[in-house]
Amino acid sequence: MAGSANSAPMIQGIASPNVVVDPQKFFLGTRRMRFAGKGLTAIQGLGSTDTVQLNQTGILAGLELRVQGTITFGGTIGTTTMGFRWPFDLIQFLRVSANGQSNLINCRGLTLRAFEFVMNPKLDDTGVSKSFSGATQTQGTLALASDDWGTSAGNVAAPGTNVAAVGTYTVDLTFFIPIAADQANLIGSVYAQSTATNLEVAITWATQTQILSALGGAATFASALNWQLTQLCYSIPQVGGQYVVPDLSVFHQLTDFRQGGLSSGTNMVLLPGVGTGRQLLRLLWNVYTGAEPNPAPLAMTAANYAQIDWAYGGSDTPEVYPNGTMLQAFNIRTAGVDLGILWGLGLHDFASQFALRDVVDEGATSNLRNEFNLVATPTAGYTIHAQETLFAAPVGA
Amino acid sequence: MYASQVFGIGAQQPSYGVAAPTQGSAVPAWRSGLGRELVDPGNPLFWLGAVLLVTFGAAGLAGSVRLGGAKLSGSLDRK
Repeated sequence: MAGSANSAPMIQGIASPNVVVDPQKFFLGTRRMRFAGKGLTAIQGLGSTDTVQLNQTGILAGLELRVQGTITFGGTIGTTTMGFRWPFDLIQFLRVSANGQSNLINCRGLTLRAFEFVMNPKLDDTGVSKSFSGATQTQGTLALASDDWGTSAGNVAAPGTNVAAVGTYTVDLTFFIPIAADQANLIGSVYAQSTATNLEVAITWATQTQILSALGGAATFASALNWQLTQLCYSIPQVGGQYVVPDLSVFHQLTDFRQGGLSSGTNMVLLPGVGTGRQLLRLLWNVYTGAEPNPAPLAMTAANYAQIDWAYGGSDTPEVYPNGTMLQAFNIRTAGVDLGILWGLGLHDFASQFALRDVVDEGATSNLRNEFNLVATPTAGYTIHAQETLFAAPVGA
Repeated sequence: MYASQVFGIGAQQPSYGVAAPTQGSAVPAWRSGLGRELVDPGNPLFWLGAVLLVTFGAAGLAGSVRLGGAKLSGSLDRK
């Protein structure tokens, strides 16, 4: 049979012009581009969802989100307290879908901020002064120096902290959304240079009751927040008459899920979506204790956690941490930031030291699970886990 | 950098470029081997071989056959 005509090849499931996969030539010829995906616009409102279709340009590696504006307390402040979902979980969910792959990113703001610190060891929150649970902290807040968590003259809006007085509080937060798993080699990035490409970002904002654990009886609350989105893309160079792209054979996924019913003793959290062709890069989680509307993160210390491990199959347990403090210390060593002391985050990190060696092949690890032994039963306890995975993108040629 | 080199996932992709004329055709493997190239008219070695064959092969063709008293000889040599 004669060779068939090679009509539009497919990259990541969409038709594309003729291109050649050659990372080296791509990196020599490409140009980093940063441009507006969404100009500064008022959000629909707390509890609602804003969406935007991204520009179909180049190779999409990341998104930069800014949320800024004001929150205003009026009337008589009384006992008004910000909850621990403030400020990062003002983003209740951020979802990114690309080329039919729904929810490449589907997680809360705290997950995004924590992963930014984990994936970029240059970031350090040491010395950035923020209030947390009513005390000033200079480490472990996961705050950037550019963050404004809510400031009105000398008063602040801070997690787990009473709001001192009525007034208009300025807010300014930025988040990095990692479309690619690695911002250097762009593995996991998305081919956006096609009219067939469909890139959508949807942000569901937290409700008022989620960010405020208490509002004084005679107090009022209003918000005037805006958001803007910047696309971080790379141009597709033409080398020797052909378009050249990096390795686009995998997608990068970062997704949250929640599980309740926690108690003292060993808690076992099975990871959803485990399957052949997927690699687990990192697993991040924290546990909340306390009834709504004020659940608080449980610090990652030996006082709260006994043994922590991850396991698969019947009882294969490759890594065991004797207690929460040991995992907290390991996380400080690999991430360079204290994830656990304030936000209670724990991290199984398979990608930061040597990914080729350490990443978990989900095709060979059935019933992959996180196991943690809680010293005491949390009140209405629940955990939010975030999985970072790579999986094979649909390809054809 | 390929995903398989960094994360151990994702086979290295084929080129998405236009396929070569024979790519994807039902072509026996030997036809693209070494022997195929030597009989290619585009190969200078082919024509060198042709000249050598004419020069020395003709000499080899020269010979004679004796049938009783008769002798039959033939040669491409013009001398």
